[in-house]
Amino acid sequence: MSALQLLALAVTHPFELRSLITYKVWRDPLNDIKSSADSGWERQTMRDCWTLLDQTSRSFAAVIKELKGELGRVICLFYLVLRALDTVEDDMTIDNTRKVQLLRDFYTKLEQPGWNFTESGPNEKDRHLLVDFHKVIEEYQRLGPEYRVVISDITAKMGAGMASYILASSQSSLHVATFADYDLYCHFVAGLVGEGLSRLFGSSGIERRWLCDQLSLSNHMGLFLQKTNIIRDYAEDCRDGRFFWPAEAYKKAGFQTQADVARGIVPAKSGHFKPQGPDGKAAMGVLSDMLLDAMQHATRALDYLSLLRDQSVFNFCAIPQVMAIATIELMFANPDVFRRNVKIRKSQAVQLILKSINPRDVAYLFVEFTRKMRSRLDPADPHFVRWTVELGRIETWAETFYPTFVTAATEGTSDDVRIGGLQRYSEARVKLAQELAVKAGKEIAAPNDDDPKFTAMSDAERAAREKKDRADLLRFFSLILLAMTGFILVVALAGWYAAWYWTQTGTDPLTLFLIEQYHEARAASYHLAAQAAGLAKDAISSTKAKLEL
Amino acid sequence: MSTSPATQQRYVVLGGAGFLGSAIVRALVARGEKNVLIVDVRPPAADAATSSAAAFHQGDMTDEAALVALFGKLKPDVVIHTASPIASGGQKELFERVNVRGTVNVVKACQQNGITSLVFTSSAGVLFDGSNLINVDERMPYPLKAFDAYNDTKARAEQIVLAANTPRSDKAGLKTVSLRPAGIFGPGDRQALPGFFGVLAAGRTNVQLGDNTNLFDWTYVDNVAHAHLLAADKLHAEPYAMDELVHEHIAARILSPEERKLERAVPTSEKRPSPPGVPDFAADLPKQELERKLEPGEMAGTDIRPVARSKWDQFFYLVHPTVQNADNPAPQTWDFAADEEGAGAALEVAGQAFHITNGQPMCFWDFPRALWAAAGHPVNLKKVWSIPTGLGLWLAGASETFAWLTRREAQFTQFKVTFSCATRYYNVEKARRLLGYEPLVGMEEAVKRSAQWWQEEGHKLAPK
Repeated sequence: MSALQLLALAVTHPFELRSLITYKVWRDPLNDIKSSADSGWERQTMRDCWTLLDQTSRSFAAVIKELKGELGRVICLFYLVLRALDTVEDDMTIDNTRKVQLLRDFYTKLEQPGWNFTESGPNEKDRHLLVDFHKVIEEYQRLGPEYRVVISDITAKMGAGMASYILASSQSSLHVATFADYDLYCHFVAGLVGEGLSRLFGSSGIERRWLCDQLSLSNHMGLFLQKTNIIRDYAEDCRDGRFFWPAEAYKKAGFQTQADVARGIVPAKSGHFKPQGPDGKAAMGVLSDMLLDAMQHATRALDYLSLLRDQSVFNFCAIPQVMAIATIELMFANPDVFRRNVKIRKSQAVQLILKSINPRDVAYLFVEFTRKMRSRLDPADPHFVRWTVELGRIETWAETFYPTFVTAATEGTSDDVRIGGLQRYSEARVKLAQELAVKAGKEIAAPNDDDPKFTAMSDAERAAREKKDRADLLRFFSLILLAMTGFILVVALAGWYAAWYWTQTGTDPLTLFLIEQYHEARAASYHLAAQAAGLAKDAISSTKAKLEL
Repeated sequence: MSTSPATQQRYVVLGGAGFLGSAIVRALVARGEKNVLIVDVRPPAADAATSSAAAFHQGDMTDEAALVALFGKLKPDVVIHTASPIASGGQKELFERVNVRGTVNVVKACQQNGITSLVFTSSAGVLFDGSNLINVDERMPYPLKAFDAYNDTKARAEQIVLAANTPRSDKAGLKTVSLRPAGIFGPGDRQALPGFFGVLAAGRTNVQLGDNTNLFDWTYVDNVAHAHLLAADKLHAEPYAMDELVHEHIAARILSPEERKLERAVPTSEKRPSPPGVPDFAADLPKQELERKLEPGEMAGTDIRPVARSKWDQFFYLVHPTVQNADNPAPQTWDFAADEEGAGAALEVAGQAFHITNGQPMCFWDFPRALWAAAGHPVNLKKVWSIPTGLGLWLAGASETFAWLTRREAQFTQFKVTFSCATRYYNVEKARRLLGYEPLVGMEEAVKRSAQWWQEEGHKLAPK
């Protein structure tokens, strides 16, 4: 970033600048591939593969390198194989018949040491990956069989899926008819990646082995990312003649093609765009439909993340999901989506990376973004109720698994009513336990050093109780102090009156002062009451309902 | 309507002429019950659907002797007690007489007539004291100081009902259950919908109290009626299987049957449709998978995993019996997790209270805005005037003071400010598991029906 950009960031988003500096200066990678025994760094072919990863993956290379043990190497190779497949698929210089066959057979090349592909178009961005593919194959052959079978299987399925879609697009421009077809396309290009990664994590033993079988959650992870990208890439895809938005979404809004949807989006001030007329309004409805469809994967993505145990695997999976929901929030009710590629700021991305370190924080990042969306949710949106219910689901998910009354010691104590409620409930259970023990003729266990009520509480509950004890003590001393002060005042007042009336005649000045103040206060209260009545009248009807049975 | 089959028992619906009571009567009749009896102080409104199928009997809960005699004459198998004064208005004595003493009478009448099933309608408000209730479950104790007289009397009535429950071993004894619906609304509503549509009629939709980040649970009346039928059916059922607390995943996304039809399962490599119009090359591939040795206790198949439960979950102690937590605080004294009888009691319907909501909380002001939009008057967010909670409370206090000075009833009260600014949503997992409750009507459909009813019928109820 340039110095001017950094300066502008310091003024407009100072916290993000701080995150950027923290990330560059202080953050240490979880694992270092150059010193790790499992990374294969000592072999030239594997070093070449790491280099290929850096060249082909701008966003994922860093988190892949941090993966624990041999997972980093395994995922690196998985990524390169799929990237090679994608490079073949993207290449417009290869005729479709040849391409279909190549994609369908690609997984068999992994068993052919020395194989590579030199016929990519000269301008194909990642053609060097295919030219050097024999190196990837060599390293693939070194993997354990439990990894090879996964990579081969996913490559086979994805290649076959791509082949089917190439045939579909050879008949006409690639387009998607229904939301179900949209899901299926996303499954082939992204859901399968999710499945493959889950099987690799589970096979490694670093994560629970039954993670291999969580196909639905794995696909939700993949689809959440892919749908976010498809929505974000609307303008770019329209220019390139690719249409991934389901026709079901835009045809019911009255548009015939995906490109038509942007018809009512016109330039506004300062480089942004705005919807204009009925077409513009309908376009925003289509965008709402698409984003709502993507948001339905969010709670399942959180389900998946809460299953993970290893920190590096969690980072690898969580960071893209948090980027996705940040992007959805950016696109929400944003007409710019139809005219350009909207992206979150790099500094914001860094801030999110630093925050995405455990499932609880990730869940509340999701909640934060849902609240931002809700504040812009238009009651005229045809999906208003579905949106607000969907956003509520994320908050409910977070409170179910990581309730906010459970706080770290550094965050201070919460005044949440649930703490007191759970504490009283627990105390009632202790009492019930004692009654049942007596009734059963069981001798009550000798009390431990710890009070059973106290040990049953979490740290937060214990801290809350200690705080309450301190508050009670403070209140007691405050009352004593207040009583003493009151007593002194009464004695002083009595002394004043005694002295005055003993030595002087006429009314004392204190009484005169009080009488004067009373008259002033009464006059002011009339004025205040009139003002309050006016305000109350305005606000009165907005909360008429009493909403209980 | 309700999805459960008819039982052909004799049902008495106390308060059957009221808003919720008539919905319960309709639900019973709709599922084919032949013996539905309405007991209320006044007859139900003219309604052909229910009046022919359900007989009306005049009865006053506050008269114990008369009620005992009436139950003796009617001989019900199931009593559904949903009678209650409307919550608004500060009639403390009336609440005490009907909600508390009336409920004592109902319990006595059931006991003296050998009736074995009593379903009581409590309220989710029994837990509310003005503080935020965030995803609370049924373990939350009653507040030390009730929010108002209505909820105080409902809480005490609930305790009376649950205390009357007899142990499972006493087959012929009375079994009781309490349902706590949150924010009931729907056609026939005399509180929520008239209030919000009154705001619309007065042109005050641009005022918002609080910042509208507080999630709030509402429940469509047909769903509450459905819950009552489930509770009545399951009062004598075996306890919920403890294994299912670990293995049975109830969907985290709570959906009505209509919504579930529209919900698409995500495609997986094991189960997916074919790409449309072209050969499905992926379907012809040879299977590539190493046979995996299963972990102890693990079952084969995809998407199988244990239900995730945090330490603060209400069922945690039953599935993690060795971990000490709020439910099992002193295992050295008495281990609740090892207590089979106690665990059974925790998993049966009788003797328990259940939260009943739509399971789809919305932020407080989103609900009336949805109603207004469904009625054709969407709010323009740019014109909304937001009053912070503190200022709202101050204004309400001033309004109440003024009303007191001038001997009038206040319309803008601190109760209403607190109510509309508080988070109030509930964990309904217990009702979903033990009762098998799911909402029959989702929020989107419920809002639509409510707005339609108001435009056709409801506005006639509005005071002129």
